Amino acid sequence: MSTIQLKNISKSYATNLVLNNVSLTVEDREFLTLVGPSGCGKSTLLRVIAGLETPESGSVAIDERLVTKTAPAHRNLAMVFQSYALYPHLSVRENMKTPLKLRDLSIIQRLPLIGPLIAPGKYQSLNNQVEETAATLRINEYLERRPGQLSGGQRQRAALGRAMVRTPLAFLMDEPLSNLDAALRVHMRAELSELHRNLETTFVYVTHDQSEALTMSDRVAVMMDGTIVQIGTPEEIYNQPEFLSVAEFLGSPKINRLELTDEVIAKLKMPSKAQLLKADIDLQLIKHVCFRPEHVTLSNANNKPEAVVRHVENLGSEFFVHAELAVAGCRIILKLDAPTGSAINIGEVLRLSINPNSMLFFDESGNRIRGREHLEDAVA
Amino acid sequence: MSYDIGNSLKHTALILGALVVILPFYFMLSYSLQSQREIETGLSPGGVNAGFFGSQSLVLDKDCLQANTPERKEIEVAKTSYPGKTEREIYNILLKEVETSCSSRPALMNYSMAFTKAPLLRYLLNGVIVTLSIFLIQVVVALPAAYALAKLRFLGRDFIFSIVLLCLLVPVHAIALPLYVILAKLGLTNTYAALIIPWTISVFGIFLMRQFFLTVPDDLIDAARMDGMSEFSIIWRVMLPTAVPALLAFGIFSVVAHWNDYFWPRVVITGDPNLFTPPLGMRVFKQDTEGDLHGPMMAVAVIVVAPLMIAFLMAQKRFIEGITFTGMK
Repeated sequence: MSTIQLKNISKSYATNLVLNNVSLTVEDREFLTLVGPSGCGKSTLLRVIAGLETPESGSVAIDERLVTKTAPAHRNLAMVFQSYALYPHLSVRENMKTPLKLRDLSIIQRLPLIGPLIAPGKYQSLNNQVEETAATLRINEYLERRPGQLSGGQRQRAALGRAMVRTPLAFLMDEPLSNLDAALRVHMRAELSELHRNLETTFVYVTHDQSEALTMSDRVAVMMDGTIVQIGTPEEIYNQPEFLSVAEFLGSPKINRLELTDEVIAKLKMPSKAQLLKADIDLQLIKHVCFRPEHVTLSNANNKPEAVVRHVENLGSEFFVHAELAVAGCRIILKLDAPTGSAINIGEVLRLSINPNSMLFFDESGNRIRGREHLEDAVA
Repeated sequence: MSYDIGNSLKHTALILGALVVILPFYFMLSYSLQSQREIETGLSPGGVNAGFFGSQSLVLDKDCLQANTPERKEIEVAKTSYPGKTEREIYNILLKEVETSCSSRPALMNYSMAFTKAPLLRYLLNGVIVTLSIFLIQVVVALPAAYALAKLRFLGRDFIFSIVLLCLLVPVHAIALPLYVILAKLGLTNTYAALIIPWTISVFGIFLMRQFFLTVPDDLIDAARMDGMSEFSIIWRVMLPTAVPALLAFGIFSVVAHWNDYFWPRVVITGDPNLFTPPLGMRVFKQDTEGDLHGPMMAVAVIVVAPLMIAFLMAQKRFIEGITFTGMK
């Protein structure tokens, strides 16, 4: 059992408010991701949990034990850093042994040469723990090497090993994959998720990469400007964003956004005024309408809006088509399957159909506007 | 390859510069091999200049001669060996023998005098003790200071650092007198302490290490904190091992400066010659009334600079790395 509870955390550097009254509960054995653009305060929040930063106000509790003023080492948390932060002068084995030595041995027992003579049993047990962890991570072959002699992926594993070896209450990870190349990053994503399932420990994971957040987490907390704007499962965050900023941050390629003017409504006819009124959505409030690229399909019907193809991206399994919507005068992106996409040429005029049910409406300040009823029902 | 005027000019300038640096060393080495007369006149006994090594013709050690001049008693004893000779003749024969045994090649004489007339080994030992103590204490002081200035957040840090920078501008000679007065009042003149204490806080060391520590990622320090290290263990067990290249660079500057220092030991070591550092060894041969003994003096100079020269040749790459590292190319 290890929950982490943050209450009303505020933190500022000089005059810059980095965390603004943040409250968050991380459930036991949960994989929670803090995601947001750089400078949103997600790393600072993680460091507050770790104890590396002291908040100006608010409290941190781990397993209902208040640790706001406790030193990092006494919180029994492990952290994995973006730069791995392995001790460059020590072998992987010594790197992994260091936290154990500092926790389990007295000052005298830590002395070189004399220490192992005084407490041979303890040293034996430390070695066994290191070996076990190394076996789990499959890093036995390079335990004797120094970090400088390892590849990025191997260093990543060694850093994980150093975190895992002392079986902490929770793992804190600060963008651990961002220094890896793209292929390895995708591979490590799966491996980290698997590790989380096997260890059955709480993970708090910080990233600016929305795809990492969506693929790995049980829950995602989206942070903007020092506050958590929305928290929920990846599905909720992706499909039902509460704010325009969240909708635009998640998803690749980015969600399509149109400014909803009377002209657009009149010419696009999707959704129709009647539909909106019936769904009890106040037309006056709507400023933006958004829809994901995968919700746009090609249509043959003559009354559908026209778009001119400007650019086609071939991703092998799918195609991203950038098209200019004549009425709204802006570009949107369509995600099409390979057979459909490969037939499209630049300059071609397409007729588009957008599922009204997948449309998201936002007001001027970027807040979501929800109808009382489902839009699709309104059509019927 | 075509002839390049620009490059030729550069090389000429460099060669001239090199000559300016090398010539004193050339004379030091050359004089350490020659007799006093050759040094003073520039001519060997034959009346020509014999070049770098001098003529190496035998010279007489006057002190040796004076100490061993045949006395009455020795002449009496020698009478049995030379029957039928007058005392005058025997005296002359004995004197010849002494003269032969007291003569040697000037090179040999200069270097043996460097070790016999001045306890040079003792001075070299003093030099090792003083330079190593200074360097060790400098590291003990500079590392925590540099760590605090580079990595800890506290009120007035930048102000303190600007004071450190300001101290870099104060020349040693400007504060030599007050320093001497303080040491004298504490009764520390003519001790190792007087040679060591004034140099234990190296502003340059603090500055250099701080600049290096700025390049150490914060994550590494945070990782050590998560592992449960205290701030002091972080300094000695994480920062020190990563800072070895910077420490070597600093060590080179520190050791060279204090091994070669003539000024400060001359100020604080006034009585006890047992505390002389190697450069002070040259003073033994500066005999104001009778003229200086240039040959042995230069021999001492050669012996003093030799360890650094050998160290430089062996660790040439490191030296250059160290100097480029500090951005002082």
